[in-house]
Amino acid sequence: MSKKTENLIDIRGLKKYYPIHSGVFRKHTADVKAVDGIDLTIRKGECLGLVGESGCGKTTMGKTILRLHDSTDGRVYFDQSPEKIEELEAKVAAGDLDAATKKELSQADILSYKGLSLKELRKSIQIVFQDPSNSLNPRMLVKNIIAEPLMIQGILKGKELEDRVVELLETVGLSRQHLRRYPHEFSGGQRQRIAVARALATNPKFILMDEPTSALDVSVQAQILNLLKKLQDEYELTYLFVTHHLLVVKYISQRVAVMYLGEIVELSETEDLFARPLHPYTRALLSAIPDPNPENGTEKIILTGDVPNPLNPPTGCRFHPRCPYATEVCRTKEPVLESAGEDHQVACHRWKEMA
Amino acid sequence: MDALLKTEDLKTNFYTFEGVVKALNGVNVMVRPGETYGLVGESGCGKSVTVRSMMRIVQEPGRIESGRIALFFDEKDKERGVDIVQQSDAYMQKLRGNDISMIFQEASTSLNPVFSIEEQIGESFEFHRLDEMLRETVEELDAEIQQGKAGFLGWKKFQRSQLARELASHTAYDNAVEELDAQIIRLESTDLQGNASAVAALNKKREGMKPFSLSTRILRRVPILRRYRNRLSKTIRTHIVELLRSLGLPNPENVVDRYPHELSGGMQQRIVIAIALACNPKLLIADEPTSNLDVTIQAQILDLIRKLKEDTIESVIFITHDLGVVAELCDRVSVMYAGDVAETAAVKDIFAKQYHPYTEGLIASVPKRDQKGELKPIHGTVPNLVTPPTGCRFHPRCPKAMDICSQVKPETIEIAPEHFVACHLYTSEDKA
Repeated sequence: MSKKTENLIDIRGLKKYYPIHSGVFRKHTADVKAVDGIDLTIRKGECLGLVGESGCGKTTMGKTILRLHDSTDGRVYFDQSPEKIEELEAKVAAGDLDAATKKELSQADILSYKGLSLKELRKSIQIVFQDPSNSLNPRMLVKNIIAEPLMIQGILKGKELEDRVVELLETVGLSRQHLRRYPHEFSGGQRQRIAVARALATNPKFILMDEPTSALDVSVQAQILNLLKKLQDEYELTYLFVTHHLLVVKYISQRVAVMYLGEIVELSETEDLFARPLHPYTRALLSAIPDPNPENGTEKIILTGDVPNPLNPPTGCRFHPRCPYATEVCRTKEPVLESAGEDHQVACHRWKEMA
Repeated sequence: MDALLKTEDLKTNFYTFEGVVKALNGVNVMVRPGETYGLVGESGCGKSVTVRSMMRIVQEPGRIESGRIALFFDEKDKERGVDIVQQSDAYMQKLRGNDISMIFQEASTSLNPVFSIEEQIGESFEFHRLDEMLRETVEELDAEIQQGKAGFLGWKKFQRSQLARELASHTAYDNAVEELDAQIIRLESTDLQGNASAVAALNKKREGMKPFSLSTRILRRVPILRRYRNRLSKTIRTHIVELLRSLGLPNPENVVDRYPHELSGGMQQRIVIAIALACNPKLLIADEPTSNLDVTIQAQILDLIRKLKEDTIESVIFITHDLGVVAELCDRVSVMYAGDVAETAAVKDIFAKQYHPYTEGLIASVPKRDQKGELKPIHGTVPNLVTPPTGCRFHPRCPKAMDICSQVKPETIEIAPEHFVACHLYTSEDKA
């Protein structure tokens, strides 16, 4: 990719805990650590794939960035200069913030946006949900579904609004004749196109794709993936593509982050990750993909057991109970993301020995 | 050609308010002994309806309209097979679970949330392997009584005599039923006039028969006394634990007492497999058993099915929409589209060379590990089967459609050895 590596979103120490209350007084007894300390940057114009098994916190993380969930801790900078981010981060790390810094931080960190600034932010960040049969209101006409964000933001009115809706429908491969229909009259693929049109309505810079193709058939999945690719080039969009399907990620994204139990275990350029997976979990994931080519007889690494409960995650490296290479240090010490080559980071104690 | 199960021109319709949904449009598939047979296609292509028809469990308002489903399980029926479309419900009930078993798509919905795992798997044992279980329990009790353990008030002796009585009446019932079935099949295979009414009479008689004697049926309802069966439950429980252990479930003694919601998706799917395997079926039908599971868990389940196929089950029918799973697990595969079988071949052959444009499109539209360039999707969507396209049902989406495609349904031909395709591209050229 010859694009500039300028960051659009910079996530620092993002945490999302769901408290558990029990007893007569609903005392706060424990936390489900859905997202536990994530540092991640999303570059301008890229598609970053986020993969992991169900329950590993990938959707929660995406929705927390979009402010659909409230975060527990951490900061998310949207479209800020790197110098400013570093300056603010240094102040946060030093602790003891004065009033001026707090104000500055609340302007830069989208997790502290409120009211009008939050509404303004929503123009530039949008989402496409997993199952279009649930994410489109069955009692609204398609034209109202797509026009809704434009009306809420007060961007367009009347004739202009309708023209814009038609234009959007045409960009996603539908036409004017679909305006006055209800979602149930469409097939799954068409519904997902409507959801994409709605996300595009306010000319966003960033769209979160939350498993947009997992409810679709394979032939339709290919149509939607090609559409998303085309739109990304045309409108210079940035995607965070959440999915559990690794071959889809390989097809659409330039970089991939692998998540396990609320933490990122590996982050790399897509080609590099598939050619040289370093974390044992990534290796197992890659080897478990059924490859639609009977000639490629790859050896399987079959993990035992299930994803542990995030209520009390394993100590040390969270993957150690399922890891075939775990040693004593993995049980006690938590690994951190470290650089393992150009644009390749991994959180594992033993990646060097195994590489 | 050797076959274990064969459908001939199978048609299943659904009578809905919108009209008649012609879900299966004359399906011909054949499963051979010792193979894993894949059925692929998009949703709404009739994969599930095909296998549900094979089990005769098509839900209302669906009905098997015409066609034959021949089973070749018995040595005697090697010639024509038993046509299960014609058999009575009682016959089917015996067949399901015993000879053919099915794993359903979503484990969480196919398990009953209000019964424990023991009760759910135990049902299968109680229904299909009762004789075996009773015999084993009686033998155990005999041994204990000989050692001089009669229990309180000779309770064990009472248990033993009652279980033995139950066994005797159940065996008698089984023998009678088997005899009747043989009679029915014999009558059916000789196409004489007046046979139909005789078969109907026999079927009615068969349905009227009860598996236990009157005294047993009464005793099973008497409080306290009916606890003689607890001993049977104990035997069944040990069998369940053994079965679960062989399926690789961690600490099965503990798992049997739990309820489905306490288990993870992968464990639930293993329980569903255990229910299907309780009676050592010859044919296992797996209807998308892994499509709701994570890849690592999917790999575990696929590995399990592969092992079972090697050890206990003769053939597996595996339904999926994931071509990757087909490539990995199956020996032969049929591609279905809108109620028709488009192409059938060995897995290696079909991935190497696709003759039907739908198969070609399907393979071109999935991302591969060594994907180069754009994916090529198939345009449009699966048609509504109330008003299916005329001729070849794929022609509105087909990039190579010709005039004849919208008029005539293509014949299935063997285009290469063991490679069958139904497409005018190959038949009309011969004619021209």
